Amino acid sequence: MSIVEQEELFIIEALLFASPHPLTQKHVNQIFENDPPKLASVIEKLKEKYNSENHAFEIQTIAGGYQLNSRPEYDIWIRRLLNKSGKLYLSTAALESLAVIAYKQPANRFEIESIRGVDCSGVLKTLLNKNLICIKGRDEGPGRPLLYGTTDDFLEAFGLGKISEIPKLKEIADLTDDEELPNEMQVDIFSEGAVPEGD
Amino acid sequence: MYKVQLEQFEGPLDLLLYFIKRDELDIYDIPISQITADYMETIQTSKEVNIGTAGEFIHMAATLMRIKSKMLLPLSSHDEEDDIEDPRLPLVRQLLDYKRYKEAAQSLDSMAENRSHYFTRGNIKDISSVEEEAAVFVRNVSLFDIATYFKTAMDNKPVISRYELHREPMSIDDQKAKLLAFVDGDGILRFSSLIERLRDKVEIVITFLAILDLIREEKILLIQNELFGEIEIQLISEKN
Repeated sequence: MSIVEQEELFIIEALLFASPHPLTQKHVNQIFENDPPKLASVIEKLKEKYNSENHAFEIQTIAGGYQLNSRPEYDIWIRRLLNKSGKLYLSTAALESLAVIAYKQPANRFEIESIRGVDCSGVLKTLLNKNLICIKGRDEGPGRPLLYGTTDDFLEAFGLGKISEIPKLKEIADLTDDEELPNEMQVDIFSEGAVPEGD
Repeated sequence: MYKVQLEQFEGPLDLLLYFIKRDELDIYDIPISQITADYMETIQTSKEVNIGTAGEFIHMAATLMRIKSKMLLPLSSHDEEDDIEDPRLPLVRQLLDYKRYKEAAQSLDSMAENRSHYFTRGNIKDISSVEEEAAVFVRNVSLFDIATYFKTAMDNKPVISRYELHREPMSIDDQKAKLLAFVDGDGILRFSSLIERLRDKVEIVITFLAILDLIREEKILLIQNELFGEIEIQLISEKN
């Protein structure tokens, strides 16, 4: 490793340490005036380093960036320190609505309500307030209803690198039971272009 | 038997899925009259009905009834076998769809649970941000600029005009006493002579109110003998 590379490794490590949000290539490009290092390859080197040295933290890919996380075996100690659990608590109604939005995004309120069979306006407000979903625009058609999609905070709350990492509906069905679903319901919703790419 | 309570369900679809699971029913071949009976019994015996969800439960009841009645009707002879759609199919699709998302919601919950064991460095308190923003705000700004802005701001300040409100020194009760004192020996006070003694608009208003109040209390009478004639205030003597 050259001296320049060594220095870049330290800079990226420092940025990871200080960044309140997952660190992205975009951030790095803004920080380095010229010749920004390729974040992904520096992260690989850092990961190797951490693996060989054994640390209580590790680098995770979250919401299209990289984040330093404590290792899960030490969460009990950190919970005592912070006096709180890291768990995001959501009602069943909120989780169901969030699931519909996550898989069908962009989705309007009526699509969510027709799947759940109940009114969802209150739940959507909660999800918006928690910044787990955001308004992506307006749908075509009668009333031009608002369209909702998931946010980077959603990805962070559920430990996802990008939205396509959520388990496919088919996989969930396979895990829970062996019922054969009608063919039309096995359509892979994450086929090319179906999901907006993150940064 | 275990009593089913509406409140514990997310909606009518959730309740139907519960029956299907409990009675181990085949979702593709739902015994519609059995499930309709269970459904109706549950919504009829539920004590507390949430207004917000009552409509949705009733709507499903109507849907179930309609499917049930359609299934009772004999098929007309000229219907082709292939054209006939099972009346339960739309409901089955809806149930399967909801079931998939319900399961997806559960998997999201377990993902949140997994995630909760990792702690990030997002807990840093940003104590420096206030000063930094101020620093950015005053960058490239001279003292003269600030003074100029201050003067402009002061000059453009909206003018607030002042109105002073005084408490009126007289009350209706005072005026009533005064009015009664003006009455001459005959128990009569001419209106024109009363008005001469009033100083300003406020006093006129209060005096009028006092007159009205005295009439209400049946202490005075107002007498006008001819059209546009002099109005006289006559004391009603207590002897009468």
